[in-house]
Amino acid sequence: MLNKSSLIKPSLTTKFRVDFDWWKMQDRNWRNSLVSFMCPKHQELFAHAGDAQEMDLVDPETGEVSRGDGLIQTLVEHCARQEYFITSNTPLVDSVFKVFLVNHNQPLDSVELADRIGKPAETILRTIGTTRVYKGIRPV
Amino acid sequence: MGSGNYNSWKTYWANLEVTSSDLQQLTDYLFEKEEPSTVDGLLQVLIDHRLGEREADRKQKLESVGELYVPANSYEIGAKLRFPEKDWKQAIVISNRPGENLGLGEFTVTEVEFEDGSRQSFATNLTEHALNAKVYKEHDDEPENPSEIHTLFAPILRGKLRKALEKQSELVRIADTWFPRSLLMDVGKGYLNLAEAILDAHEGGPLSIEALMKELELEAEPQNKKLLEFSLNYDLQEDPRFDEVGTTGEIAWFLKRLEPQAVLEPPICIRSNTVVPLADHLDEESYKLLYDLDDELSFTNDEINEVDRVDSVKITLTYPHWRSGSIPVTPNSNRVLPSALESENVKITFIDKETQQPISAWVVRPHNYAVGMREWYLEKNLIPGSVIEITATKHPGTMLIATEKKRSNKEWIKTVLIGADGGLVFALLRQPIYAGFTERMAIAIPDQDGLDKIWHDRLSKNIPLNSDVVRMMNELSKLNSQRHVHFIDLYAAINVIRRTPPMELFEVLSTNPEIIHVGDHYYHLAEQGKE
Repeated sequence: MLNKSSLIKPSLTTKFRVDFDWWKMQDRNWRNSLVSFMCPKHQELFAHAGDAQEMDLVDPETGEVSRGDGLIQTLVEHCARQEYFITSNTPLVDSVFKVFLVNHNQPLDSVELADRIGKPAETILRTIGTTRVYKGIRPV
Repeated sequence: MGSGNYNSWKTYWANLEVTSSDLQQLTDYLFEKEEPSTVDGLLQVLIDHRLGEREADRKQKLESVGELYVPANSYEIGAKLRFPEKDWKQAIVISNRPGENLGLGEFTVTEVEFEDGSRQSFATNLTEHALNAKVYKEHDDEPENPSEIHTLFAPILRGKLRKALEKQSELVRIADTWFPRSLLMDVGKGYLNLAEAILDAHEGGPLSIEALMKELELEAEPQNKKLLEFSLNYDLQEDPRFDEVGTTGEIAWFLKRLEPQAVLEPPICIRSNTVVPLADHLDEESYKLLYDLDDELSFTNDEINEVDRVDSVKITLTYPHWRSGSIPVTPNSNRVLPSALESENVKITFIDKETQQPISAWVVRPHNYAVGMREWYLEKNLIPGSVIEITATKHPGTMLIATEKKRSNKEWIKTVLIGADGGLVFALLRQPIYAGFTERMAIAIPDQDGLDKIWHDRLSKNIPLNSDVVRMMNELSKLNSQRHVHFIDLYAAINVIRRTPPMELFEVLSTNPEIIHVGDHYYHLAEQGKE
């Protein structure tokens, strides 16, 4: 599905983020893709967990428990916090995706992303600013 | 410290009153220890005991307001919890179930109900969570610190403890040491009689308790030595034949009947029933003038005792002290005199700084004077108004004494002459001077016997101070052409015939309509010549 923002050509100042809901609807293989970003320990745990993964999510600040997708929370709150999560030889799209996982999916433009992954902003914009959506990374 | 209503601990210790429960605790401690303890030792026990009580109280309060929620802990159904991250709201645990999260491993989901009825679930038994290491500060005050309690509050608590100990009867005191009466050893009357004979042979004493025990050949097992010492000290203290005369921390015994008369009873010239503290309404200049006169009758015991130590002090002799061979115990002199927590009379020694000769002397605390220097004053040709210097030594009971150096010569000094009718006349005469002096306080006394007779004669009379002041002003005013009399001249002179505190004299001068203040502490008789 396209929304209004999808029709506007993104610029260097256009903010992007990962639209997990969009990704889940568009890509049946999204869960496997996410598992591939996990740390070895959690890759093993989640590899055979199946699709129905509503779990007890624990708020990292208050300890409150809510029900939700444990995979995303584990990826964001644990695996993305590991030292080796973003490396220099990671493909550009994966690097951008990981940046959003690390910063709790706060919107960033191409220039800001360039600062974080060390690639030219124009290159990043040309990659994620097209009509093709990689790993749910879309303009806000 | 992260819990408990602990923000007012300084107020708590500052306002602490020693209760009967505290005293019982101290008694139990002494019973268990079976050894006498100083007030400082008991104070430490008291502080530890109160700290223990406060900790128990703190825990009890915590239980009533609820335990702090920590994800690593487990909580039973019905437990009260507080949630710092939820504005410290309180809740009760209503259920526990296993947590489901592949990424977190085993943990528990604990459902709680808040006071407003709302329910929420929290992770418990969860070893990895940021809150497990978080330290909460519930109040802005510093944590209770035992060593700081001692530093800040020991002086005030020590005083309160002493007062409370004095009011009870189960524990008995020797100097600053306490022990249960019922555990005392029975020394026996025979040993006390022997002690009297031994002290008699030492011209009264003083003898330390160790020396006395040695001469008494009183021996005990090593573990009972302190107890025997305490018991003997106690029996000596309770027997009116003996007087404890040691400085702080030292116990020394003297035979009461061999103490100098000037210790047993204040000499006639320094005898007084009244302390007249300097009044608050005095202006600053007058207060300083009266304060600097350094009269023991101007100060309360608290004012005298609450002073800081110094190396040496200078004292100007008034006639009463010069005649009595004494010095006043005041906030000035007490800075070098030895302290004694309990002894009323303290045996001290002055060493003549020039000759190194010892002078046996006594501090008589109930009347705030130190006595025993009469012969030394005469030997040094001192007069009322002479300045002496007293210097502390390493030994609290020993001080150096010296006159203020001055080349011998003759000076014009107010001189007291006694007429044939017994009346006093003041005249300025050249007198030989051997030591430094304070000019306004200086008075030569050529006829000591005549003056002594006047003092004795006046004992049976009740002459109003007012008339003595007027008569003395009349005499002194003749010594200068303006006929003005300075307050200090008058204070020194009036004390030649009667013991008069500065404040009492000041009140007479302020209220007598015959006397006019002409400024700078000079006074004038309105109708000269009238008595």
